Amino acid sequence: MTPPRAQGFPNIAGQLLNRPLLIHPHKAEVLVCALQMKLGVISLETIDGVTLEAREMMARAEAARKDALARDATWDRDDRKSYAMSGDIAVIRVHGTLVHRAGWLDAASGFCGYNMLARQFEDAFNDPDVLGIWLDIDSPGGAVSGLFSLVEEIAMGTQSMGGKPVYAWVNEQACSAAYAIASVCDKVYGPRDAIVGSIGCVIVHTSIAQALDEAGIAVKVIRAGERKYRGNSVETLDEETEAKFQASVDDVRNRFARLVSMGRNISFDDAMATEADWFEGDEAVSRGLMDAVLPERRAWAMLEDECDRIKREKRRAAV
Amino acid sequence: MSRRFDNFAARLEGDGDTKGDPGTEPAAPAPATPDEPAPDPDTDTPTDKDDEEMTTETPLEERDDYKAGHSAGLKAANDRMNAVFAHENAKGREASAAKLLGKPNMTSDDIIDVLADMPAAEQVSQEEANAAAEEAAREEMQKEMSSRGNVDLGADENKDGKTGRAKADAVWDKANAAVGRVKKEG
Repeated sequence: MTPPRAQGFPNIAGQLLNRPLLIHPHKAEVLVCALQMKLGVISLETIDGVTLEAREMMARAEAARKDALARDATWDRDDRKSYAMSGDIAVIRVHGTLVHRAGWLDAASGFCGYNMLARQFEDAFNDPDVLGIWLDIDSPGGAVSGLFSLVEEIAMGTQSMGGKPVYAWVNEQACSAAYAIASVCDKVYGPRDAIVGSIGCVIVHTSIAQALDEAGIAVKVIRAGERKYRGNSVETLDEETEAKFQASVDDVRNRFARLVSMGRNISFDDAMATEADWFEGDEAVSRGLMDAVLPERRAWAMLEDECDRIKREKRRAAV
Repeated sequence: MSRRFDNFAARLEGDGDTKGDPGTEPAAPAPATPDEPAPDPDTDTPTDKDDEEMTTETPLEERDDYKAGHSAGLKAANDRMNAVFAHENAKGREASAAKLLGKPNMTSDDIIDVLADMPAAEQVSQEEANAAAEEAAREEMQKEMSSRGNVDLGADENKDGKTGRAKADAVWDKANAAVGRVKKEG
């Protein structure tokens, strides 16, 4: 029996707001757009300096929704598998913003839940029909919660640990948390314009204390326990809480860099030296973040070859 | 040999041997898969060392790295060939083995595996081969003799109007008919 899952917008908002995030900054804007109606956001100033009103925000959210629905249509419902199959290869898609538990929002809002990915990987690792796993990644990243346990499960099932070959195809963005997933795969390939990296962590804290003050609204937080409800948005961020947030993102960044060091066989210092920047194609290869820049069909053929080799070995072992 | 994610949790927390992490030992390189693809030349990044080597005047054949690479390549090719021909799957399939050895992207294991599914020529000893060749030659000679008949020994006819050759042929015709052979016409 599985524990009840928290679902819906309050759950998603709770995972994304004032929490450490491994996410590409531009995607954060789309998130706010998607949650605009539910969160009561009237307008949004983007990183590019453009102010979006309600209609533009809804248009962005709709585009993300259509993309997510297209992804949902790729499940292999005929064979009752939680992933699409092509020959001996299971295709698992990591598209959209990553959150711990997406629930039904997974298909409808551009989110992708770590819980769903964990189930797909578990199924694929245990499925005798599956000889290899193709991970199609197009994600700017997402929440930290649930990420490291997922990547550990994937890592332990990879070919390098005696499991099945898992090839990541960067189509065409695998940043932050999505790159953490890619980094533990046996191979990481992508086209020349593939974007990978962003090995860092961020917490976005918003305070409306000054706005409330200017509006003549007085807010008094009555707390029992000095640290209770610190880091909220109605009070100015205090130094101790800020230091705590900083320590949290530093810790996540260090673990992320160690993970990449293990997965990609590069040094911890090299992973840290990226300073959470993102890199395209050839530069990503030169930094050891990707194995090669390839056409998709060639990368796919390499996984097929690997599956053929495994089949031959199984035949030989049977004899 | 340590694997890529051995001691995962400890290394993630910085207590393990994550490569380059302060106070830790370097990690072992990730194990290569048996059919590890060669690095894509398009994605190779030139290093300072490459630039340095390109400017030297030493002929390629005299360079130590070239010699070492050549020797290693030659040894690898010989080992591959020996591994294939020494395997029992190659017996009776030598021609196919030689052809498959010409495929640079196939390992010796791949070739041996493919050979197992191919029909092998029948194994015969030299004595058996000689006996089979003699039998074939004998049969061919008999067939030739039976088709040609006897020489015409004379132009004069006997009382029954047949020549000596016709009479001798008639005997052979009876013999051939007895063993089921049919005389060739002409």
